[in-house]
Amino acid sequence: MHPVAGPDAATVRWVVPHEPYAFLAAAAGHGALRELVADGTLAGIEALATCLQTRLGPERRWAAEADRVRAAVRAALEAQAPGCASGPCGSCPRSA
Amino acid sequence: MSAACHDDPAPERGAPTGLRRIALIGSPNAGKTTIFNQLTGLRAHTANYPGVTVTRSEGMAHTPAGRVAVEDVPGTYSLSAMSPDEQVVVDLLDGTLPGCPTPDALVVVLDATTLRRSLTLAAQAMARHQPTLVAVTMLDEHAARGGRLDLPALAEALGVGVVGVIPPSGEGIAELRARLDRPQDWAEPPFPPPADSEEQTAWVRSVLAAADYHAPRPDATTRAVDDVLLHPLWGGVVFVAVMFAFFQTIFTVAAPIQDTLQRGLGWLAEQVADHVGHGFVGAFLSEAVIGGVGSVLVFVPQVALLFLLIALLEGLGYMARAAYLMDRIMAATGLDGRAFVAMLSSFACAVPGIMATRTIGSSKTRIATILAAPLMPCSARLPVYVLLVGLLVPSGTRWGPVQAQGVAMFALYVLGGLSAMVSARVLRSTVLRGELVPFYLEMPPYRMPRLRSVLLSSWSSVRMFLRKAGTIIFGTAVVLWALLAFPTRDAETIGLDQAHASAYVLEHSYAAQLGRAIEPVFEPLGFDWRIDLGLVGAVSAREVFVSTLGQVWAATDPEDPSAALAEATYLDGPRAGEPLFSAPTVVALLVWFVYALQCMSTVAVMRRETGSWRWPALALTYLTLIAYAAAWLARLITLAVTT
Repeated sequence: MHPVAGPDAATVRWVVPHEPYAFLAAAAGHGALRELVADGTLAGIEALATCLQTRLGPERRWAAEADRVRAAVRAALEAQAPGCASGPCGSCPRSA
Repeated sequence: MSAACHDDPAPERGAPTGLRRIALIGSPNAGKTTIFNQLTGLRAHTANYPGVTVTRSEGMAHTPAGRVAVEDVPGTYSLSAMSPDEQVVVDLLDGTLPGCPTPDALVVVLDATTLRRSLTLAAQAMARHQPTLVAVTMLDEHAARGGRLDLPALAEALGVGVVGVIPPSGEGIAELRARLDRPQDWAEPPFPPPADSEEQTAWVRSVLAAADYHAPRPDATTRAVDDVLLHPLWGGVVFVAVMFAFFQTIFTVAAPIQDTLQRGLGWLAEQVADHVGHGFVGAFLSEAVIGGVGSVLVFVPQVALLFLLIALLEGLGYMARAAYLMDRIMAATGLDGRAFVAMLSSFACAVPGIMATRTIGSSKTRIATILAAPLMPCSARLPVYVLLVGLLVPSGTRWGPVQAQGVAMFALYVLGGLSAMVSARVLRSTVLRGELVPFYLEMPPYRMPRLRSVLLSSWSSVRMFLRKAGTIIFGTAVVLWALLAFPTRDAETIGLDQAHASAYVLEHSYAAQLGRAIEPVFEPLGFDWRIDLGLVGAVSAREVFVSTLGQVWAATDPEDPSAALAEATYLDGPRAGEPLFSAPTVVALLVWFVYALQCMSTVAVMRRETGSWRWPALALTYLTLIAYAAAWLARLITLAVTT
């Protein structure tokens, strides 16, 4: 996975180089990400067609929070499709 | 030393203060220096093997809005330095390189054919929170071998600007130049790529997938050629054959041009004698200028051909193969293939050879290479060897299709190379004992060198040689001429003809007194005071030996010093009347020049690279002792064989 800028400075999209992408919806509900929403780090998480979109919480900065968010997104993706966060590996059990 | 020699491998020019500074960083052999040359109009040395650039270079790039300072730095696979050349990059980016402020922006040069590996460096560069732009090179080669890459998608995935550049043709350079104007407007990623190596790998794979990257097929031609050139047996055979052909070419192609130049000098000497006369000015022109500097300049064809052939081998990508082939042999000496690359660079000159050791991570291996590098036959030895081989082996002697003088030359180069290895072995077993660090060197694909690059590279080296002839060699020739011409002996030479008068002045000159003072030291080697004078002059640069002999014998016979040199005899002592340049004496001289460290520029660069006088002092001592002992032994053996 790799981050790309979203439509505004608070939004970052975590692009997953896999298809089909149905597992992204389940990943968005993963506990690690929910925790970040709960503590205010993230304002929201959304599963888009090819990525997870994360919106930063108020008065938070990506420079300070990027590593935590990255780790949580990675954990969420790995939980749904082991290996998918590392890019197309050929052996990844892609979710349907 | 040759001059090609004494310039750093790449130019370095200070940028006016206040200008925006942009650093070009990238993996070795990614094409940074070619981009640097295109942007700045400079002619820093480029070649098709990793590790060519070992110093920081700076130049001015004209952009649509003005100028920016562009810095070219050695190639590196990561920003965790493992060798002195990589440390230059890290120090520059950290702002700890003396006299070099931190660059305002970075252009990361990535080779499209090795993008998977190169993106790690891009990730590290982007993590430095400086405006970053990516220039992707080798796109033509990548596409030709079936590779695929979507540049806009790569830019989106990286979060920074991406420019496709094909440096040799200049494609993309205009766009890159335009972007250099406003780094503050360059795109930035939301945050830097991860630092953790596992996460970084995941990031790289993801970015490549997003950019629809398909690695190119292995180069079929390179693979087929390498099956032979890297074969444990045939590769070695081809290597020896290439080197053999190298010296045959130098002799067979350059000899006729050299003869023409020689005749031209003879004609010039006649003109001086006819129109200027034999007075003070005439003597200066015929002895110092024509006899001294001219005698070195006649070797320009050989030197030019040497540099041309080296540039061709570098451009083709053969140097990396030679290093690979030699790695196993080098391991026996306690060095590795990277040290061999440095030694190969010493073929042109020991100075860039010694600087090329910056790619060696282990300090002990590096110092051993530095101490052995002066034994590699450099271009400054070429005029000396050609002159002496010409005295030893009659011109035109052939063994079948093989030119005998070329064989003698090849033997001298082999002797120098072997001696460098033995010397390294001894150093690595004694004062520089230590573990051998694993050797890695990326094999570049074979590429047809561009004629312009080859010619520019050769011309740059020849120009340095000419500059040296016009400065160090001319300066030494003037001093020597004064020592040979004074004190004047007008009263003693009244009634003598011109030749006898010249000989009388020469034998009673200050130079003769100096030569005779050191004659006892070299007498066991068969050298008389005139040869000793040449050896003293050659301490500044080896070619001065040729100019000194040229001057001494121009004073004897201004119109045909070459013939006078070949027919010279001992003037006095027990050998009086015997030929001076007999086989034992010439062989001893050749062996002396194989070993003696007669190059002050090499000593100076050794001091600079090792940070101490200890190592240059050791090199001077051991090489002088070996030179003397080996020359004495060679004379004895030749005497035994020829009598």
